[in-house]
Amino acid sequence: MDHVKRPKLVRTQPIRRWATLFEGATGQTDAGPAPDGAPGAGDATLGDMLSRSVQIGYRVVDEYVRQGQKAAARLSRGTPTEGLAGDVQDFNLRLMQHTSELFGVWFDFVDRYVAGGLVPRAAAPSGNGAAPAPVPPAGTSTPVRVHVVSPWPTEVTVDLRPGTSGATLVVQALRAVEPEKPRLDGVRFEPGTADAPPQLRVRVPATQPPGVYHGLLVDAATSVPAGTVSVRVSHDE
Amino acid sequence: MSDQRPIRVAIVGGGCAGMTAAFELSRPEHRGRYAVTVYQSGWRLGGKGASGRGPAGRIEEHGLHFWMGFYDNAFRLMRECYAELGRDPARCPIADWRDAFAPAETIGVTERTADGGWLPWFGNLPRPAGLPGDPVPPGLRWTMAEYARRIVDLLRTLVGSLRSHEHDRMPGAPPSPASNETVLDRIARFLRYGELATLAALAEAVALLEVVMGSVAQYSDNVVLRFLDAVATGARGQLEAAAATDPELRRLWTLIDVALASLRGMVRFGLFTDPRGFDAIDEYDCREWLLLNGASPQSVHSAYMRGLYDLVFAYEDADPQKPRTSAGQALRGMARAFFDYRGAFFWTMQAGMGDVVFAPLYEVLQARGVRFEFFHRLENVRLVDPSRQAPGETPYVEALELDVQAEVLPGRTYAPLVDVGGLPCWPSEPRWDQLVEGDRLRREAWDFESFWDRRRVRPRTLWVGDDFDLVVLAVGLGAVPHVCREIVARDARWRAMVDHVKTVATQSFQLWLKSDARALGWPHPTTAVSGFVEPFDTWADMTHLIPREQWPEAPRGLAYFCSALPDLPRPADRGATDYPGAQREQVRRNAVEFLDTHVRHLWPGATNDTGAFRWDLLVDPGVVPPAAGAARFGSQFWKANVDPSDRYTLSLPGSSAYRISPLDETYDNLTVAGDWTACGFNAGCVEAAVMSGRLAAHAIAAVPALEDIVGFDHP
Repeated sequence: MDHVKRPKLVRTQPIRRWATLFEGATGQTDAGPAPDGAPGAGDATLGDMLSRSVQIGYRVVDEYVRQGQKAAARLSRGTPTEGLAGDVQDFNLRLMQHTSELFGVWFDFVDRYVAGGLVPRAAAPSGNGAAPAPVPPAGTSTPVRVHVVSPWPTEVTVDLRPGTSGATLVVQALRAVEPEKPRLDGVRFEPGTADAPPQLRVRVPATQPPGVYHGLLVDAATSVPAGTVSVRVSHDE
Repeated sequence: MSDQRPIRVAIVGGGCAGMTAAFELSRPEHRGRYAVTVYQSGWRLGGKGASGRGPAGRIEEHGLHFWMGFYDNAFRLMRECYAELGRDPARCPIADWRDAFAPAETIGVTERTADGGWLPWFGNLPRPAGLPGDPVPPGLRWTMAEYARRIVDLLRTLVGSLRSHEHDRMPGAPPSPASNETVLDRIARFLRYGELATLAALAEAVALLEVVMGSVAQYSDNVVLRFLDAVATGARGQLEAAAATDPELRRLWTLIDVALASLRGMVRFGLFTDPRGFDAIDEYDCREWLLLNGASPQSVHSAYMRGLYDLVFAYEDADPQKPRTSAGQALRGMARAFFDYRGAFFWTMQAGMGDVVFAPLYEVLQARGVRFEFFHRLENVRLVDPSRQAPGETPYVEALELDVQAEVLPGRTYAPLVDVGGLPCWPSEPRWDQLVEGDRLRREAWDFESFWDRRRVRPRTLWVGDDFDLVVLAVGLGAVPHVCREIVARDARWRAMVDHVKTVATQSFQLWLKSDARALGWPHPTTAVSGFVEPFDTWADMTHLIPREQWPEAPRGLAYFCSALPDLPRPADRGATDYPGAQREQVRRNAVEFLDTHVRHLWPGATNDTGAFRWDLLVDPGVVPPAAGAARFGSQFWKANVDPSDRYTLSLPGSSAYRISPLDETYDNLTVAGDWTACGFNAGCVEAAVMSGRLAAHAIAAVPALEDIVGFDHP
């Protein structure tokens, strides 16, 4: 039977990225004008800025905690005035410097990032590709020995927060962005000892589809995330 | 119009999505190209947004509804609707859309304190220029970069708040004079900060020390002695009680922490360049993703975040221990809610949702020639048998099988609305006098809106080519497995959708009170508060609606409460006819216990000497025999939204990929509409439903243009 049919549509999906919408039309992208440097030149700067901002962030918090405890201890001993004003002045100066530095880095970083100057061109995925692996903040990681058993080319990235290498960590099942892909659950973490760094054991089954799988490292005692693991499985020889 | 016969469109379901599709397809610009019929079970339109008028003309809602200031599609719909309606303001109290919606700035969440109490947080958000539904400003693009800039602006503002007044003085600047009381207040606050390792609290503490100790000469000995004494005797203990911190600064820090983590995550996950936009992180739970990007556990479990989860009933299986919502949709929602709103952050309706939304839509659509078939319950969407499909032919809907629940009197068209104070409204019951054997149906308590009441007067089958050409399936998601059995059985994508895009039942109750909130001890502005204790985590003061009702003696307060509702541990299938009654009774018990146990934290004046709720505060409209004590709750209104089509659509992590778009072309005469579809804003809300309705219209008529569906092309 012949029946009325819906019209064929020009498109059936939202355009989530304005750059895609305007590519070829206006030349504009949501990342702004392309950097003048060579492709990929922004990678080092990106990592540096992330690393720097994270380091400052830790420094600021550590400083606050240390100085706050110190000031409270002195006050509780009943000797609040001697030298305290000077300490406070110094402390205040440092904290303001750190704070300004931290937020300055962030604001500067974001401004530059969204303007396109720091966007690593090679990182832009195409089509329905998997999400890029999170960029590990350089300089904050702890050495980890990685042991991989896989019939496929496999790339492993571990981002372990400082001070967590001795903790008992569990790895959540790693998952791909594509929901239809099975989770990768053959990943185990063994804590480090005085003589050896912690070890991450990754076992990839032959049936694992290619893709990037992400998961959290969680402190078994506190359930607080202690880092991330990303495993990229490729079926290309 | 041309000499072609109109294309007959059957829209099944008269909620926001279905009515939007009807509005778009019946636009005069189409010149009658589409002949639209809306099939609706029961006696009223509205779906999850339906409301009715009960005794004393009181407004009885499905739940609590707010319109956010970024609901551009929904507001545009209502603005056009009211403009076309052309009501006379001298005769109707709600004649214009500005009569129907009022701006509101104050929102609140509640925070659990160490002593077991609850502290409210409030936000007064500025009123930006423009009104929701205004044309999108030229040049505006929703991009990750633009949102990042907005977050940076927000951070600058928040950090600026941290550095306010003396706390921000750089070394070397002279300390400003302060009164003894001010200093003592601040000393007390300092002691509460404890060892909080947050930038905000510690910066505040140090700045305070600078003021006090660096300029000690300015204060009398008494002040200094009292300070030292306080430190010596109480500092240790109070420092260890870090949980009892300064709420104001901790709230500020929470926002900074969440904003920083969002920014960090947008960079780390490559969202600036990912063509999937926020969907690239759909697989993550929002809290999990923020933790992954450095937010503190305190921040992600703060009242602010809990309020966000409560707002969208984001508890899988309604279990408070299973808070889950997609990071991608949550960030998209927060970005739009905080950075794209116009006029006001949210808007309150000035009567029932049925009164201000669905009655005007009904009147406009009827005037345009849209037909409404009430009392038609969809039972099955029948696909063409594959054996009768030509090779390569796309499958299609061959028939719609419905139950006619009641017949309208011969020669009559069902007139569904009633007049309440000059306002056309939906009643809370059918207009029995217009139905064949209406008295009998009423005596036998036919429940036309219940999934479990299968009574009918006859079956009715609509055939493609004879009765309809195209179908807009605009029922609630919970109904899809029941009414689309064949599609679900044959189509793996539909099967995956109903398996992965989950819903949750909700519960609500409304109280009419002899006192307003202030008289009950609530000292804060009239507001909506979320993040409160289960089983009812959200409260809204709706006292402004009382003048729209018709009480002989008007109540002074009106309060709505709502929350998710756990399913009972037994099947809710169609044979379990006692299921809705059992759940309704559960909601009643929940409400009574809530009022007796928890409401004192909001309204300390609503309890008696023993701490129990003062049931005599409730205004009884006389629908049930007068009762005292907790039995008096029976005079109020409460609802268990357990009907499949009433269930709220969740945005669970990883579920977006399973949603089916109204633009999907698998079936060549069927499109879908509802907040459960892939509509660009994958959340359970009016805006999503309206967007889906506009998309469904686009799927049929190629208009509105996708670029005109605000927010569809959004990261």
